[in-house]
Amino acid sequence: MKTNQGLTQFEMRSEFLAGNSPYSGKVLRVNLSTGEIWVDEHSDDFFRKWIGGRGLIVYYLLKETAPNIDPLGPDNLLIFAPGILTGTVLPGTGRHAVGGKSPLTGALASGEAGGWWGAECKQAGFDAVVIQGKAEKPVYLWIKNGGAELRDANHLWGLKTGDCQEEIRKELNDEKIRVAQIGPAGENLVRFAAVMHDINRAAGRGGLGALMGSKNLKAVAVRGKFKIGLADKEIMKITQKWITANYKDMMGWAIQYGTSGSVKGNHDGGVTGIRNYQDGSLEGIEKLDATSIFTWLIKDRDTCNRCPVRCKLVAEHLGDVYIDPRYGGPEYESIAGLGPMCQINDPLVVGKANELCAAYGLDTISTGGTVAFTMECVDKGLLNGFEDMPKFGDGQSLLDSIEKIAHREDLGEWMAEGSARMATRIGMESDQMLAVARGQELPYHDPRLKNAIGMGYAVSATGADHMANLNDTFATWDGSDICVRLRELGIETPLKLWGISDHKIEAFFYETAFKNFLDSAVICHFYPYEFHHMVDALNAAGGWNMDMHEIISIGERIINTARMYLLREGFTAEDDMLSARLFQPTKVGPIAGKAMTPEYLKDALQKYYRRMGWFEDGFPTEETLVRLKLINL
Amino acid sequence: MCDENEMSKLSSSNFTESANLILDKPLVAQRMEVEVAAGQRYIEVLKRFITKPGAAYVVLVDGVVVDQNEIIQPGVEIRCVPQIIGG
Repeated sequence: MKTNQGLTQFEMRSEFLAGNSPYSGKVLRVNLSTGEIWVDEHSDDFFRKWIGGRGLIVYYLLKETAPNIDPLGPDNLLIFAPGILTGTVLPGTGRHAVGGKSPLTGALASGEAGGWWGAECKQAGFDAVVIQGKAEKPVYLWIKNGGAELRDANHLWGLKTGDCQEEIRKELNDEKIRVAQIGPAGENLVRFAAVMHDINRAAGRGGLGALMGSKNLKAVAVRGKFKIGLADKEIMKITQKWITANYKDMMGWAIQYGTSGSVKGNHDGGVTGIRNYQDGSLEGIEKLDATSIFTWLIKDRDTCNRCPVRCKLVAEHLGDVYIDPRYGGPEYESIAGLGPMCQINDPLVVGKANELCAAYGLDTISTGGTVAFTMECVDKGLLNGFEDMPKFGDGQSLLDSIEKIAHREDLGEWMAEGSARMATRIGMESDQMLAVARGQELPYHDPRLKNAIGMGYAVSATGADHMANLNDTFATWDGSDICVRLRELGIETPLKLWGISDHKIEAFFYETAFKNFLDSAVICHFYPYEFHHMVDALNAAGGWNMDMHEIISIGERIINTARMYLLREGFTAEDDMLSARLFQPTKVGPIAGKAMTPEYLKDALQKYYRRMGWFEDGFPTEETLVRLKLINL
Repeated sequence: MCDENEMSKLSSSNFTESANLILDKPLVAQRMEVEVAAGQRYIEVLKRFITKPGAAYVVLVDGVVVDQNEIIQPGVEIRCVPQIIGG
């Protein structure tokens, strides 16, 4: 395959060029095996049905990939998909999705990232980028103003993300280029490697970085000048004005500390998994909370395209332990996974671990989960013969483990496969210590407290996913944005905290449909938008006449398409389950003695299947597929 | 935030059995510790004190998570922690 041949240029349609449409109608296609570059043209109907983001990802995966392909083989697709609202004037739309068949779970991988890459991709003229095949040698994809080119990346292979981005910007002589890329972890096919954007925003979950590495694709660099327009700018102003007037009050928590402000509260409230989900509390947790780290570790704040909130942290530390501010700062999930999960309360260790994960391109959630699982195996004497094995509470051993995982060295070769594969390799009932769903390490929202979120982990096509889910503790407090949305649908709130009642299943149904819609549009979940705001935003974007029921149907369509993909790949209802540790209550702490049983979860899932219009075996009925216009997909 | 009249209605002097409610930043502007009457639902009392829009909280009674619809028992210590998801 020839590289550095110049941009292959594509013509843009007039409505897009005139700023009257938020989408170009063009999906860029690249075959890395042959070097071919072309576009798929999509109609208005396509965007109304699939919206973009996760919707577009599941459409392409089900339509174009054969069943049971190797996630790390050339036939898998790597899909970068901004949404219909990405890059528009609406705050909270500076996000995009990345997807493919997951190298970690074998199911769907679909992760969303903030920053600037998604908007820049659309400004470059493409609604999505779908990549297939495998390059003979390392390449990167350069997209600019309606054109695309494959370029040699031999000189970039092996670089950490910060250095790679600098090299690409220097080579193309433009400091404003936005780069999606993998670090050494993705190159080495670590099964929970992330795709990094702007070097510190991860599409982290499911091993998309390994998928990118398997294609010998180091980066996708974008730069564009097209304006992302709207069909009706006046309607959009309604939602714009509402959020501008309310975001300071409603998102005060994010403005003040970002998600790091929840570390102590989540710990005290029994949300955070501690010491591989064994303990009820961690001594010294206050040292990791925002109120502590902001005084000496947080240097600045950063933001995403079109976002006034600036919840993103920038950490810096000078001295023996240097923390590079280019890599941002730790969010709640990263702090919880690299801190309490590993019994570590030293913010310098957590900050450094977060930096290493961004530089090497690793998902912090699965890194924390896998290292903590390994620590417990070491603790229980199940692992022997490796150098310097990680130990609970030992910060240096966490940092060493991250290096070893990224390079697949020593015990890192085992850890790079993720905790579920490690348990299979170790045997000796180590699977009883796993905290996973569908083979993916859990985010730090304990399903022994949040039972509905546990059901969401179990049933999600993406494996354990805290975002496209119903958060029990939000649905329990009447003033939360979730309760406001549920009341808009006529659902009585607040919900009871414990258990998965019929009432909660109804709320779960609507909230997961809404969240899957958000991940397709693609909108930040922190924004407290209600259904009617999204109705206005979509109608402004596409010039449509949608109502909230159509938004719910879009969400349902995406969940059902992901479900069909999952079933086609050989998963069954038996796989809709949590791992053993999550049914074992802690002995002390804020949720001592609390946990669902597997039977209780199975019973709740049957109720959910019925609500979704699925059979007892988890397959959608024909009636459901017809209703959602999926019968001919 | 609860005004002074509201506070006095809730104070222990009006009730024979009470519980201790402790709220701290960022839930409220300043740390407050107040006795509240037992026999009410947690959510009814807490909504009078915490009025931040868009937010969610977990209620802890003597360090253990409870459903906000449960009834306040005499002599317990009630705390409340904010919830954030994502990151």
